[in-house]
Amino acid sequence: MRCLYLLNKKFLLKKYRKAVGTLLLLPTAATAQLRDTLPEQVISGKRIVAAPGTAGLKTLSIDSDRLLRPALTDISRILTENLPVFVRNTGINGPATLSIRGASAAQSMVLWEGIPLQNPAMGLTDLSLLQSGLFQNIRLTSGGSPALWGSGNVGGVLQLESEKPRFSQIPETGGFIGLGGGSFGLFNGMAGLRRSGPKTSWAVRAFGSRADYSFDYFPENGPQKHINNALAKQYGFLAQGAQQLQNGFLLRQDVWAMQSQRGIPPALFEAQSVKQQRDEALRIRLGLEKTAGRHELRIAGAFMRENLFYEDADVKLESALRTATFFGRAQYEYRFPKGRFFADAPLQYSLADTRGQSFSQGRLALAAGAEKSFWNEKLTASAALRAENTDAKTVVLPGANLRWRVLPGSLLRASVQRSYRAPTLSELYYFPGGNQDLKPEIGWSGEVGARQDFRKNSWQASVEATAFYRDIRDWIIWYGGAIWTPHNIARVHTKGLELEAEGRGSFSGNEIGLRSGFTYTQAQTVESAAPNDGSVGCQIPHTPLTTGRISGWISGKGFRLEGASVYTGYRFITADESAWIPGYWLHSASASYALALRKQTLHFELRCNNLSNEKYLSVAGRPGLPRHFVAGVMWGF
Amino acid sequence: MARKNCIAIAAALALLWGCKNPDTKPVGPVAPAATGDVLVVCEGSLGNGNSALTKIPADSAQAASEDVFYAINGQQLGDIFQSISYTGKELALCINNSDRIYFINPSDYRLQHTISVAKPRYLVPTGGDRAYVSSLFSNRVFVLDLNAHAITDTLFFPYKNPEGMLLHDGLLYVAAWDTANAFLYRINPVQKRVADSIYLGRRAPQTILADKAQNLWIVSGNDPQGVRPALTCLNPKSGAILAQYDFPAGKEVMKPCLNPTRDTLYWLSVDYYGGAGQSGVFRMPITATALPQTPFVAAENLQYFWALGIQPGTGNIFIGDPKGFTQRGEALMYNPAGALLKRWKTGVGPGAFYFL
Repeated sequence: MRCLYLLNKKFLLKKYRKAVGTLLLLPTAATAQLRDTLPEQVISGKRIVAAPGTAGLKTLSIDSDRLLRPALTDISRILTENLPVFVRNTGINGPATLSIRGASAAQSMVLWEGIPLQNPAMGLTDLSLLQSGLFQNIRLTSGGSPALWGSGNVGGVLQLESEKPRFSQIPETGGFIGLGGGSFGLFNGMAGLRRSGPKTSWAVRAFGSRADYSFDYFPENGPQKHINNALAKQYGFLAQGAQQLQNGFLLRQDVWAMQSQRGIPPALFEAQSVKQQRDEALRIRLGLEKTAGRHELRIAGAFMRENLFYEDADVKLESALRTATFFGRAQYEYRFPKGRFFADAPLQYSLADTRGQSFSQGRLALAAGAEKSFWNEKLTASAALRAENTDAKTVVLPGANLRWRVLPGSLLRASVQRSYRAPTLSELYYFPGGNQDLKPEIGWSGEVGARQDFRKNSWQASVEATAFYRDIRDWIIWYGGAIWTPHNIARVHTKGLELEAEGRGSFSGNEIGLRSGFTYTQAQTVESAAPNDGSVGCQIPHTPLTTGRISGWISGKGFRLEGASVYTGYRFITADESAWIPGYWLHSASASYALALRKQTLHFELRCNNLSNEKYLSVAGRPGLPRHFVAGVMWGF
Repeated sequence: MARKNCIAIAAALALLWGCKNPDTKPVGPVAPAATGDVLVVCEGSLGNGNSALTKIPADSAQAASEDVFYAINGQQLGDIFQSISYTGKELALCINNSDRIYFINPSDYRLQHTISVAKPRYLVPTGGDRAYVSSLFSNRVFVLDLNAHAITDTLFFPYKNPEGMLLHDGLLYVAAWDTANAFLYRINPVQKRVADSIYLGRRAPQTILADKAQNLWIVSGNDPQGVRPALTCLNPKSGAILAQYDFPAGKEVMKPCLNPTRDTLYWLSVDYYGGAGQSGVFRMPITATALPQTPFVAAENLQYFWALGIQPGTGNIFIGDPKGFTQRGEALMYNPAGALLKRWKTGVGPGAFYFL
């Protein structure tokens, strides 16, 4: 399967149904693993099923062949090259946060196996701490649908999915070892091992990387700047186990641990920097699943511990933020003819500890919905309702979606959702400045979309357009003097357009493809409670009006050549549009070769990032990396 | 004969001048020629490197120039523009988080020199081509040679965050804004050493002013760190505390200044829990016996004033509204009676005014 899936498209499922069935019978897990990592495989062994209630929502997916590569690529780059999202990198070795459809990081949800990964104190997920090779699939559902996923899902949700357990009557073992290196003294490695038995399955993936991103920056205007204090080290593992119990229950365990140590280089306006940041995370998940006839039950519990230590000896600053989250969830699904009913009951309790003070937040939700197809499955409608209680404050979140297959290959979508984000622990309790009187950000969002697929012989193409609109009140903004305090200040209207196009074809055993995307996002403050606020009528800072991406590939006989270009439009860095960062293109290219042996493979890849050596700023005063190379080899067995 | 006497007297005076008593009290330079222009120190927002030097022209009908430094010199000031001082021939711009001081020509704002100084806050010239620079996060005050534009000495203090400084009666008073510190330090600027200290009885001194009676007023406190703000009036000769006023907890007091006749104190106060009408510009005669309870110019809800200055010639009150530091700020001009006269757009984070 190529990297990008457009889900909920039945004709695609039909096309691959036979292949999927064949692959499910593949003899070894190792082979299956290998197929996931080799780009020239046309299909993978996974069956992708749309989550209940998402029939009218736009969902895109990145498959494992792009996530796990010999030349390991950071997840931010993978996301921006493949999905209509904006990743705000705060400079080399700095945190990277997600923005979907102009939403802030706290409004763009990231889930791992259904568990929110947002730091409960800060409300955001640092993508720079996520290793792409750990995941089997990344799925983006654009457009807020809190009725399905709860608070924080305003712009959309990014779901990280681990490898699914596989069982085999004859015990099988497989795995891979990947090593890479490149510019900036980069050295990284990842290894995976999995074993499948008739009743048990386990897998582990471990990784480590080290690089020193020091370099000399030559701005267009101004003196040369030596970017140093840029050493970054990261290591960790994800271990998974699964057992088939009696009575058809499946018991799953996941342990994910990582540590990161990084120097934060000086900005162009800083004389020097000795800033250091250390992040630690431990995530443990237990799950119990059972499918019996039309009934499906999933129960999961998780404990997550995250520590962030920051030190700037220049200003005698040391800070530590420790958070713990307990999460539980029970989900039930009942399939009836041409439809399904689903219910969800998540529970989350979060603790944050900083500067010797502890704060907590409890969240409980009950959600239910139904999805039903009509007119020979041409029309699918779904609706969901969620009651979410955060610290004894309850909000009701409805949502409804519609999908209509007008003609074979033609699809229309529509969705209306209540949007909602509860304040984070920092916003409520940070000392000094926390505001316990904060109200949640709340509003409505809606979208309409159309998709047309074309197919002729071995060639296929698709185009999809989505228009969206969102109205959020009580937008939280930090305001103040010596002490900053978050307030419900603004009302923000967001409207935009997303275009996706893809074409691919095969000839003489080779494949060629082209994929592109464009987004236009206008996110403007329309009302403000602050006097003489110059932000009214202006674009929200750090939200590019336009982004674009185009990539192409050609493959055959084990070789694959790829090129990708990503455009990030100019971004205002002040709320009144008085200052901005220029837009820029980033180009990358890679060449790979997969050598198939009898039961093993060797996969080589050379990748060049920032091919044109573009000088660009990711945020004000913080340049991005110049042209650099990464090479890697992966041995699959 | 008379001519010879004149020459002799002149020679004697020259000799006396040349051999002047080393204990002569140093004085700072007089202000540059008055133009009526107002310079606005725009801090920028921390970590964004968007400081600016805004100029409000003497003709208040004209628009402000939002960043004359960039317009003239083609480069950004840097991160957190803290203060402006006049050295006698140049204006010194302390850029705190960029660890540098720019020296510019006061007439055309053209950059003359740049030096690296760790976290500079304020620069006070003490005569003799010498200046002292306070520095945040350390316990150091740097001695600067204004001719060479170089640090020549470093003075160490028992407490960190040397902040506000005042050259008064030949001595340099230094407030070390450390929550453990309850002393005001005196430096002999000629001998370049800490002469002595005065016990204040209140911790975290930050800013020092001298009124028309030659008494010192010290604003102290760091409310978020548990040290309530206080205002202390001190006789610098005897070290006696003449008056002391404690602000209630939850108040932030900052940017104090005196009117041109130096008989009325003004300051900014923010009451984070008081709501609208409790924050703004407060004023108090130096002879008052109690703190004012209501602001002279009240801030609106969600308005946090960050700069305060009183124009020497007019007595007009200038207030800086940073608007959350996420956009261009505003400079507001009020007449001495408290009526709003004019407002200008400034750079991001207006934090202080310098009157030319």
